Amino acid sequence: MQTKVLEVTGLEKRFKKFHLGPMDFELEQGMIVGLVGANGSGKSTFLRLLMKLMREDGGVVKILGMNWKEEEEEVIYKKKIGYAGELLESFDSTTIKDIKFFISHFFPTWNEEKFTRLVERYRIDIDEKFSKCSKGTKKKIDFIFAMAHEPQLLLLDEPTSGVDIVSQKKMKEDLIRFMEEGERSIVLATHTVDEINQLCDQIMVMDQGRITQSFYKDEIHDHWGRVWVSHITNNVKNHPNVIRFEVNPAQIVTNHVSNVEDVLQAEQITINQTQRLSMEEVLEYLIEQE
Amino acid sequence: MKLFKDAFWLVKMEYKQQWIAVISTFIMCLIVGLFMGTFLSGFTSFHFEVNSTSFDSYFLDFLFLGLAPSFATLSMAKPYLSYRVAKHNPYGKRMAVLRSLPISVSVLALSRTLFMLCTLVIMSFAFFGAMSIIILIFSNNILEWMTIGDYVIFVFVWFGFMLTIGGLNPYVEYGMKGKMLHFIPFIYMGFVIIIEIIFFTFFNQSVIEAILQLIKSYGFIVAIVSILIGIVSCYEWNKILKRRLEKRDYI
Repeated sequence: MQTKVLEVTGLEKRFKKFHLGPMDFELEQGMIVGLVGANGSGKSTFLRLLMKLMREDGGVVKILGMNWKEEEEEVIYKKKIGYAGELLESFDSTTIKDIKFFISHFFPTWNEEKFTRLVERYRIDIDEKFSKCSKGTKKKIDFIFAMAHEPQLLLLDEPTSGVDIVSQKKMKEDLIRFMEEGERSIVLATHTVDEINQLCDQIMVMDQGRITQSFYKDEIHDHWGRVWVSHITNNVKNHPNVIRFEVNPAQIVTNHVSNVEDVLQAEQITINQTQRLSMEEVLEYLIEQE
Repeated sequence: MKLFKDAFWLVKMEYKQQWIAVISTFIMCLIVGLFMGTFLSGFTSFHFEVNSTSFDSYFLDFLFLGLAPSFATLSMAKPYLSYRVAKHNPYGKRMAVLRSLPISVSVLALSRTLFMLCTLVIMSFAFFGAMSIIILIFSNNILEWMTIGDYVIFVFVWFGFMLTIGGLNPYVEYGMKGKMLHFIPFIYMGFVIIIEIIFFTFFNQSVIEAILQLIKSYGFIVAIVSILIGIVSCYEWNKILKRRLEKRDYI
């Protein structure tokens, strides 16, 4: 049975001023991975490479057990992928209904009932031309097209960016339902803490084209914390689990509270208070740290 | 068969979406055909002997050679008419959508080649049709130095040339940056000028005169050779386009 949905080894892409990779990445079935990182860190480029919208300079990718480079297999795996990456601009003069007619032709698993349900749920007028839609509506249309053919793997590039709060909530609900419907997986590039909190199992931090850190969400909740102490010694300052420290008042931000507590004990430093960090704070540290 | 079926479906969708550009390009071809027909009907003679320096025949060369690629695409589509639109790479963006869908690169390349072929047939029908009607109505001059048979061969020879050069269009549209749509015609015209200079220097006659001379000497074989070169070129352009579609970055 296929459990690895995505296996990326040594993926590389070179531009004049940017170099993505070499990147190794694995995605297990049933998992949602959140890709986070500053603007320009390479999240969108990574998803575009997976969709073969860009030519890689090196590396091997297996998607849903299929070889990325075989033309025949590319067609098969793309039928099982839902990609939302703001590509529909070239259909500006076309109505949503006509775009749907065009796109659905290539997906044997297209679920018309689901499509109708989603356009009603997100209040999309399918007779409207794509160019007349607002940025948020375009995002929702992208999302609906990615979902309506019952994919096994969703690649979503900031799906809720510019979307109203009510629709954002609906999208999260739809993604949770999507995961419950079967053996499915999602790669989600996002800047939204709520999405990471509510949806992701694993978080990968990208910086300058590389995955610099990878965590399971539970690990973050368990290990990251802020510790107020009596004083800070040099050994504490230089400890690998200490992310940041302040002298006045003396406090430490750590990515492994229990490890740091052991060191503090050995250094005979008094712990005044310990507080777990919120996901937002952790992400801020992770992204700033790079 | 599935390859052709899928490619034709894409061609059909493209025509459905681009119907305004299809009609306007068709009208443009009719007008150009009427102009060329009028120009040819007013032509007093071609010079098949050396030392021909007729300005009209060189002007005619520029028209025929220069306009040939424009019949194999929707040259009245917005990206061709506006640099601002072309700069945003609309064809590349369209191809990005297609590449994100489960369609093989072979189908995509074939669909572009078929679209080019269908467009060429439609537009050359308008162009040659309009030109031929004018020539037949005002046939006094032209039929003095060219039989109707020669004229038919001439049309086929020229169609073969359009076929040969037409494959450049899908490559520029889908294989290059959008602004190249407006730069390539200048490069192409540069080639036409070089060809003209070569013909003038070495043969002392225009390309059209040379072709008419060949038609007089070898008859329909010239048309067959031209069409064959066109078919082989289409096949090769398709291969080049496929390779380019596989390798290019769309965004």
